[in-house]
Amino acid sequence: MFTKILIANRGEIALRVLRACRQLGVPAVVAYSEADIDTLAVQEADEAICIGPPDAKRSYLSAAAVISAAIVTGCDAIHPGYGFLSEDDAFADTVRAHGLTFIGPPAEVLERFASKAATRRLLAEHGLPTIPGSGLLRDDAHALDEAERIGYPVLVKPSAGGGGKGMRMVRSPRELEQALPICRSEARAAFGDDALYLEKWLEENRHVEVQVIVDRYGNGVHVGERDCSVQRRHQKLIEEAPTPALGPESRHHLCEAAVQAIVAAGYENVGTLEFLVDAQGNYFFIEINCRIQVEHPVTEMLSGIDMVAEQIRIAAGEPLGYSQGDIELRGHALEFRITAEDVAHDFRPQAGTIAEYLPPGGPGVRMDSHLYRGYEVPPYYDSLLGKLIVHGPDRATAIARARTALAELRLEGLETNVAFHRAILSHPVFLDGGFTTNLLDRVGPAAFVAAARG
Amino acid sequence: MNGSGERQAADVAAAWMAGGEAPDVAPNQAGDQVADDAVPAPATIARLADDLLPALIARLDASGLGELEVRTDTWRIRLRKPFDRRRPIPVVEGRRRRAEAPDGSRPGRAGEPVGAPSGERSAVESGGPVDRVAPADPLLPAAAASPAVGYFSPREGWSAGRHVRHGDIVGFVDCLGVRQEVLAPVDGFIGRFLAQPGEAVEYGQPLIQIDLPAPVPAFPTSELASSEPRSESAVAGSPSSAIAPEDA
Repeated sequence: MFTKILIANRGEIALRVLRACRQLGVPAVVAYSEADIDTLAVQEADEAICIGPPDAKRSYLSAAAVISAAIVTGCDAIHPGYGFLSEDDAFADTVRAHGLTFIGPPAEVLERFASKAATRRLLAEHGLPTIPGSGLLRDDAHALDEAERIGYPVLVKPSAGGGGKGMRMVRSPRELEQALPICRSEARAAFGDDALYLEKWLEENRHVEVQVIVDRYGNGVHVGERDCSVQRRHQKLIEEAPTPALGPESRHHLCEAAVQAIVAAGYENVGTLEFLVDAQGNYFFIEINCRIQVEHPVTEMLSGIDMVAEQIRIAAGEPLGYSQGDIELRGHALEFRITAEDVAHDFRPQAGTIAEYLPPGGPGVRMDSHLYRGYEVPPYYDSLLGKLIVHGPDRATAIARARTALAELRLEGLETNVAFHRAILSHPVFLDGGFTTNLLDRVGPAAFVAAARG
Repeated sequence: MNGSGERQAADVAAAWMAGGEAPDVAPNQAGDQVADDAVPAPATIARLADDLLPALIARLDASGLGELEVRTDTWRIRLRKPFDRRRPIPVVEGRRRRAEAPDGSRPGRAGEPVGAPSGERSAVESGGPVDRVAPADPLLPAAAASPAVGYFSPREGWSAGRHVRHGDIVGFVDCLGVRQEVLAPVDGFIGRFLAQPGEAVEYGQPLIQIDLPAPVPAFPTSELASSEPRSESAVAGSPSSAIAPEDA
């Protein structure tokens, strides 16, 4: 096991990783930017070190600052959290070159899965059905040809990164020509890489992802799937498990296929394979996330496995120590991403002081958040304030607990999306488990809020 | 000072000042001192401060230049911009103290920020307004802060008492083998060293105290006094300026 871990992230995930380190008995250092000196992880940490100014490029995204911080504080491993440097193979390689361990897949594994197009090819070779798509687009003419071959509508996607940036669905060559320059510039701004590819757009699809854990010795398990179909502009809002879209047999089949393919392809550490599921229950692999995900608590509630601790253990070279038969997934869980966004004004991100914060409680209720009363939400980073996770023996109980918990949550001082979550929770399509990824964008958030009021 | 931007100053000689690099020589040793006899009359100084200086400051602000100098037979004005506007020098005074552990101890670094007494922390914790500006007291020392996380080394041969100017390199921080410059945030004198050579330091950590000279008697006009470096030069972004009468 490591002697000391540097946590190179912020917000709720920095706190979450700190908790895992504590439970493993490993001291941790929280690396923070000047804007985050008052954040809870910095206050709670055994040690904290300021690595740069608020601008993430000079702090959380600066490989030199992060690695130097690890060295001067005597750490032998770096946990990157999610976002920032978490899937950067060059960073992982530099970390290793300095004699430190990157907590995540080794650099060569990250590199193997860095290109989404190449990953789709690789996993198709290992038996996963993939969504029809293009390779990297050379130019506009190439894009038009490929779109014609795949068939409209198609989704333009950046090869690097995620989170919905640089993504556009287009229904015609004309729309495609308009979207390409926008997607390129968005992708360049967000990821420093404007490579794009196309993917067949499934009109009514669900986003279902499989959580896997693979150790260095080729032992791999899946920890079930999560349904992340409640999205707004490709940003996940609510995640749940098991997916209401598939029966037990289909779910088992999907998860088994995923873990077999990813072990065969040489993956290591925790990871998530994302699939689109169509109305008939066919699934298509779209991409892999080589990091801990925001929604990992959903899986933790069902399995009782600490996903962050597993990530650290495996990076330290420990064997998995259990097999698929040991994993039992119980009940139903939901996660709500609580964000500082003004729903009434196009989900505009908010900054400000938390005037009141009291997380809900009771059976099966968990709140992962770095908030406290008086905390100032800085304007520099993403708007995630925390995650409310509920668990119950079945979906109906989980939803009832979610309603109670969302009503109980006291969070004042800035606009949040809590009321919007409550609106979705009372919508018949959600209650029927019929949410598809494009529903919110098609209907418009206002309709949900209005329906909830009426 | 913006309002006077339209006013034209005659005979402005503009010069690039080391193109963003810190001047390596202590300024007062290098041609700054033009030995001469004539001291301008107080009325002249007042006129310059009232009319010319605000216009020059505005012009320097709007330009990409590092330094402006205007010369006549009897007087000379030189304005120097804050060292490099694209790379602001960390200002230590406004930095808040880190939270303290319940037992009062704080793991980590030696050397707490200068000029932020621990009492300020309670205001932060209770959600009160946070003082982010430099202290008003011109005699309170400033400090050269670390530009990076890494290992500190002072500039060789530069010891306490040496006069430094805003932007002078007073030390280095080695960040993964890359030497980053520790810059003096104000004109003043090297004071106490707050970090030892070879010590691990974090970004923004105060490393070398810069003692400020005692305030000089104010020039007769308020504009001039307000742009005096000694009273507000710790505020990043305000151009430092000085009138240099051609005295000995």
